[in-house]
Amino acid sequence: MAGALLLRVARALGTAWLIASALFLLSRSLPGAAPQLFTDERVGTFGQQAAAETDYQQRLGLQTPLFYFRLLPWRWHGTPNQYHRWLTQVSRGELGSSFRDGTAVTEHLRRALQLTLPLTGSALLLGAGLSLLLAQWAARRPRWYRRLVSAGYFLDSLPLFVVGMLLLLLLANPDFWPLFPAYGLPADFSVTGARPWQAAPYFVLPVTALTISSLPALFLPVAAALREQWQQPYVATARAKGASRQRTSWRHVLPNAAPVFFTRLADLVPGVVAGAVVIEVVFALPGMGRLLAEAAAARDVPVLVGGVLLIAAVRLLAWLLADFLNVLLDPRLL
Amino acid sequence: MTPARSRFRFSGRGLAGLWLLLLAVAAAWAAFGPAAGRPALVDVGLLSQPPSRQHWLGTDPFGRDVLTDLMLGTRRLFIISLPAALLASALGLLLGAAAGYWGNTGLRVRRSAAAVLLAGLIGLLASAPAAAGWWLLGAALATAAIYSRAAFAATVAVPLDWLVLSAAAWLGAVPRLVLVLALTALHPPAGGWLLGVLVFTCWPSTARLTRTLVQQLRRRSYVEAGRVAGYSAARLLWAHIIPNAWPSLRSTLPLNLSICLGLQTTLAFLGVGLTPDQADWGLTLANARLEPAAWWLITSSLLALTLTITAIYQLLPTQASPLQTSTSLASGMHVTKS
Repeated sequence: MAGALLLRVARALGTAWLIASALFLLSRSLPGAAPQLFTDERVGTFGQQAAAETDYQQRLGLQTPLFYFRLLPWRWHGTPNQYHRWLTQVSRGELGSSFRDGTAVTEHLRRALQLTLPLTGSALLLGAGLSLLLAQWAARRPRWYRRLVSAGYFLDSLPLFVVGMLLLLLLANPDFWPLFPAYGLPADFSVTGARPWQAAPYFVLPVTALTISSLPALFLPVAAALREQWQQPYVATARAKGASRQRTSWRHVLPNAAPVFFTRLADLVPGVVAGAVVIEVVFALPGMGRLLAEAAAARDVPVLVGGVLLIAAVRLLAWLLADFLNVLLDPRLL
Repeated sequence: MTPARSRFRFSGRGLAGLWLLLLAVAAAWAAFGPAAGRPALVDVGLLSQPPSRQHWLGTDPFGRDVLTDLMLGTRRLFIISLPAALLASALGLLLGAAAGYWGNTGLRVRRSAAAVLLAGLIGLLASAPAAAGWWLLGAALATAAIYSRAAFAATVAVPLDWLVLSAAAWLGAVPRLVLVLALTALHPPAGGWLLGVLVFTCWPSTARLTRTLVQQLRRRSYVEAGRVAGYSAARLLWAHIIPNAWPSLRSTLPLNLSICLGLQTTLAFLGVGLTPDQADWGLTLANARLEPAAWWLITSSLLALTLTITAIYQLLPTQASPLQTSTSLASGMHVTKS
């Protein structure tokens, strides 16, 4: 078992490395993707401008070749190259510094995560609990099940910003029903500061939107698995023995459908972070998602690559954890 | 199903078709009409006006007519989302069918031909760009020569199934929205690049579903009989396997379309991969955030988007009841926003 888990960890790390490398190389080799210094032509003579450009390239480390070698035609460059530098930095835990403000990417990510983790964590917990209850309830009621499945597919197909904007329109509209603050955070808010619960009203709508969006992704497969389990003969045996409906559904049926639940939950963890991209932009929260969206809009490659690397690592970690839990639940799965 | 319900279902489909036709007309107007190629007119005197006789759906915070803006936005639906969904479905179908039919051992090429092709590829990459054509020509000629001779007959298996599945798993390691966001951001805004990114990220679900179906069907006796009769693999796949898998495969195009539409509008909403003069429903909604009290702006663009997605869902095959779809979808085509 330890060997199998080790193999999976190694494979997950390899995948994360491949993705980040591909993104890094693509970002540096595409024409127009590399950062350029935009200055007014009248600021200096041509020589001055060229010198400034060279300075800028040197500061970002862009003057060395991109990779160990060049194809078309073949040429060997050796270790002083951008990719090698980036890789050694990443292996030391540094992700470079942002093209926009020169702050370390890790610092950007740390600050953003402080806000995103409570947001996505609570949404994930709420979504998981609600969908489990709903699936248990609907699994024994075919008519409701069919309705909920249709509704779930419809909800699942709506882009997330539609849900967010709808909530904003209905519950935070100054003309209509201003129950909650529309967006942003209180001016003196900090996560570690005193009385963080004062900001709770600002989080209600984002958490609701994220929960609504994560519900169908969990409810649909779990309810299908539960329904399948209810047809099994062991349910009839349990009922004949005198187990109540409640006991049958929670002690007999649920453990058999649990692997589906954990696998889907693991799928959802990074998905909720991705959903936070849209929700944080809609509700103007300075978290991970907005960091990524702004980095994408400004083509701030180091932040983008760092964020993708982090999300990929989280997803792979979640998969590993789900595998481990499933093996604990059902040793046949190893 | 009772007659009344089936009639209702039919009329639902009719309405959906009508709505999509309307969108096509609007897109044609946006592409070839008098306003083609220009953004909607800015009228500074009429900023954020509610619906009126002149502006049926009101104006946005820049004084543009919302109806015109939405109609101009349909153009991108037809030049980005629809081709992307078609191409992604076709690519997924092709790769999934090949992986399911040949598996890891079914497709064999001559070992010498594989060596020649590999040498050609390496030569191609290591030589000057001007010589690339010669390397390709040389490799193709050598392969043809090898296959025309009876010698060098030793073969090696191409692990197609493994290749397709690992590519799909590799793409699945990052949530789709994040991957699309990062890839779109790497390139200056251009329709072709966005289209390519959408196709590149959307094919795996179709491929997985097709692979499962083809794997199940290729063991059927009628396929075996066809193989014994000497039919080619292409003919078996095209004329015997795909038609039998079609009832399940039919749902992939509408699903891909709704996914691509969602991604395209989300990107526009985030302001990525779009030049400012282009109209898009996502951009219309993003503009609505400038004026939170403008309910007409949010409602009309939300309604347009929701109606379109509902209409696309109405195109799903009626035979597949929610139950059937849910099991086949849970196995391969699960739609998530990530």
